[in-house]
This record gives sequence, C-alpha cells and structure tokens, in this order.
Amino acid sequence: MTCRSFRKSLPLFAGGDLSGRKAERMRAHLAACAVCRRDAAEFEAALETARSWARTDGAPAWTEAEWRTAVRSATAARPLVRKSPRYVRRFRPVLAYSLLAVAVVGASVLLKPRVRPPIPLAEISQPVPGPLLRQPAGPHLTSVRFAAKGGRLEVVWFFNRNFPTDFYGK
Amino acid sequence: MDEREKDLVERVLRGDTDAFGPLVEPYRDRLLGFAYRLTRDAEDAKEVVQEALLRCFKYLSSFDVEKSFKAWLFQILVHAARHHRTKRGRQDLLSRSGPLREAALETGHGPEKGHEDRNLRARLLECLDVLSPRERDVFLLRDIEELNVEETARVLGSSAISVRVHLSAARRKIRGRIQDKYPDLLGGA
Repeated sequence: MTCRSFRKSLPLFAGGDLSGRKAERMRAHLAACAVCRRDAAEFEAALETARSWARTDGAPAWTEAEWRTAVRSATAARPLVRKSPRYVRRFRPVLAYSLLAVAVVGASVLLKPRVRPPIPLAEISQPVPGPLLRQPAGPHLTSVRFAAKGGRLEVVWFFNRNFPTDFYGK
Repeated sequence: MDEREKDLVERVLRGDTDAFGPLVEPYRDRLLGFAYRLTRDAEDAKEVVQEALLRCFKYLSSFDVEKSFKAWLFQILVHAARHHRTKRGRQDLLSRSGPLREAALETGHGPEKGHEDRNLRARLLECLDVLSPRERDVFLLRDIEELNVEETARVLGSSAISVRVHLSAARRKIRGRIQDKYPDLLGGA
C-alpha cells in the first residue's frame, strides 16, 4: 500500500475507529513514514482540541431547581405506555381484521340452528305386510312395519278395525 | 448498559417514578450540551432536553435493556430537536450553517470568564459551521459525546459505513479549519 491509501484512513485511525488488522497495518506504516506520522499526530491533536473546546465551551448548565423541575414534569405529565413490539404494531390492522373475520365465521357456525335433516325416503323400507308380525292375526287386525336399511330401528303400526271408537271416552 | 441502569429502568417500569431522576442524572449536562450545539440557544436547548426526558419516560417500556441507554437517550434527543425545529418553523437545527447567532454568545458568567467562554464557544461552533449537517451530527455524537460508530449509526438511523464516511470527512474538515485558523494549536503535533 502507498502513503496515499494510508492517508485515506488516517482520520478514522486518529479517532480509534479503524478495525484491528487495518490499525495494525497503519501502525506499521506510521513507524516507517515520518510524513504520515505527522499527519496522524495532527488529526489526533485536532480531535483533542475540539473535545477540549466542547468541555469548556460554556454550554448552558441546569440549576438544581431547573433539573428537578424537568425530571418531575417528565415523570408526572405522562403515564408510562407499554408499547407492543414493532412487528405487532405494523400488522395490528391486519390482525384485527383477521380476528374479526374469524369471529364472524365462528359465530355464524355456532349460532346456526341445528335441524336434523329428514331421513331420506329411500332409506326407509317399504311397508311389510302383517303376517311377519308375531302378533295374533285376525281379519280385524293388520299391521305395517318400517325398518331402517342397515339399522336396527323398526317401527310397527297396528290397525284394529274393531277398536272401540269411544275407548278414550270411558 | 450497566446493572445499575438496568435496575433503575426496571424500577421505573414497576412504577417507581423516583428512580427516573437517578437514571438520567449522569447525562444531565451532556444532554444539555449536545442540545445546545444543535440549537445554539440555551433556552431552546433546555426545551429540547425537557421534551426528550418526557419522551424517554413515556416510551421507557419500549427500550431494550440489552442496548445502550445512552445511545437511546441521544436518539430521542435528536428526534426531539428535529421536532422542536419543525414546531418553531425554523431552518433545520441539525443543518444550520452560516454566521454565529448573538444568542449563542451569551453567557451567564462574569465578564472575564464570559469573554473567555465566548471565544472558546465561537471556536467550536465556527468549526462545526464548516461541516455538512450529517457530518456535524456524526462528529458531535462520535467525537464529542463519544458514542461508538454503531451507536451513532443507530441514533441517526443510518449505516455504520455511512457514519465512517461522514466521520472521516468531518475530521478532515475540522483539522483543516483548526489548521487554518489556529495553526499554533496543532504546531506541537
């Protein structure tokens, strides 16, 4: 490397902002180059001068009363706000709409009236004539049996032609 | 961030507002000095620091205790200064250049001390005037407030590479200015 390339890095070196390996190379170069060494010293002196001016530049200072008032008003004027993480804040509207949509769909499912569908006629067997029953048969008796296909449900209706019409009227 | 600051932050977050004073006390003069170099007006600087303290307290719960509290505080201060400038409708406080204002030369000390301070202050502000806005921000944060490059980048919302570029340029300009105006100060180097 040449003096020119080293001089480009001198301002950062003077402030201690050069990374380890680069700083090592710079130190080796400065040990051998009087011109760059003088430049580096001037940068360091300029920085130290600016810092010393900053320390004594007569910047305003707080009085105790002013500082106490500033701190007190900071802590008294506004409550603490615990903010959500940034990614939550960014997607908050999306999250809100998504939750709303889920809530609406859920409510519509839950509140939907549960009506059992009628048994399809095709699944109900045709009436079977009375002789299949173990009831005493007679000319005045007849029956109709309904049985679900593949199931154990059976419904049997009996019809008695001699059933007294005033049976419930007794 | 040291354990003491972590502890104080935790106490404030638990509702112990008395812990806020000790938390920001170590930065009391540095905050005001930095704000003053941005605003160049003592009263404006105090207003800006006041606003920064308010925001610091308000948003303390969003502060990551694993990071530097000082850098976070200065970041708030820079934003407060920008907000203050907008509110006042002035030129950008962070990019202000040109002749020094008389207000910047006022002092609260006695006549002799005041004269000395005026000279010193004029020298520093004069040097800052040769910098671009970004160079000035970087120079103040890195070389005067002694934040590291990464912290400076975080405060200014820029990259570390950008900070290094502006820092390098700022130091060259500062050195050139001091060399031109006060060659005796670098004579011993």
